[in-house]
Amino acid sequence: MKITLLFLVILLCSSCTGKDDKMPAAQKISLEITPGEQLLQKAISSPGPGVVKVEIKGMVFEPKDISVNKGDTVLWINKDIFVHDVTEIHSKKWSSQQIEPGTAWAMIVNEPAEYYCSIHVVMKGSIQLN
Amino acid sequence: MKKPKVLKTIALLSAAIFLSAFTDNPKLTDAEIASVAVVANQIDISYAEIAKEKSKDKEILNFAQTMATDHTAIIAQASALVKKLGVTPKDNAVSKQLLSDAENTKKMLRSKSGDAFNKAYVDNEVAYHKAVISAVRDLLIPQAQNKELKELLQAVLPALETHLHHAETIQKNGTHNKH
Repeated sequence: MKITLLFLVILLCSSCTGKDDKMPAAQKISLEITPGEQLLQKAISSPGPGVVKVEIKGMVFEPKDISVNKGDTVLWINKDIFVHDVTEIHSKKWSSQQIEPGTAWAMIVNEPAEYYCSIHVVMKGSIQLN
Repeated sequence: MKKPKVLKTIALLSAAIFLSAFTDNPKLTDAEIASVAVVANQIDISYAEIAKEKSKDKEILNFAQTMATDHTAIIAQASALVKKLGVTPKDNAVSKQLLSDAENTKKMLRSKSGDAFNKAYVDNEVAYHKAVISAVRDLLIPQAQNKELKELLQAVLPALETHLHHAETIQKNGTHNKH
């Protein structure tokens, strides 16, 4: 059974070293989930090793501070009724662009970061590496 | 300096006017609560529209856009809910007074320009959000009969508190024209 899902492309963050390198904007794509991609969908719905889920709800990132292994994927899921984004706070090195309610954005993490929602600037979170 | 004190007083008066709509502890039906909720959001959108016309400050413009977007989203949620429940928002003395008083605030904002406008807008946003939070938490939520309406009002509170925190941050940093 084909399932249609609105999903944001997982972005590689391995090149986030120089100020001149800007992360490509997150792309929203509509995917038909085939049996071969059900594993990815499972990671979204039930994160296992290597995938860390952060829920955006009630104007907070939950959990606010996370510790991950280098190369893990962080998946931000917007369960709020408002549009949010996740943006690296100091040099705006990376940004999800807008994450609509009910959609998600993911990023492979290779370095620690502090981030915020650039729309609601008091919403903040952090990523530490184990 | 006298000017900032005067502006702050005006903002506090605006909040007092807002709260005065509730000082008689009016008893509101769910239809009336829905109307008050929608009107309160519409008022902040109208303040944001004035800010987007008049301010050149990047922080103010970002904040105003966020207010317009978020309060529009809240109205959309409220509208969907009342449609689902078959409730028609009912104008009432409270919603009418809010609209009437908002006209005075808009007149005050339109009379300002530059840094004076920026400060007046932010001071009003702080005062207005404090007043709305108090009204939602202490009056609308306790009086709401329908469970889903009560839950929507409760779900909106964190957003109002975040807006207040955001406005207070701008207020604390001071406003100045940035491009």
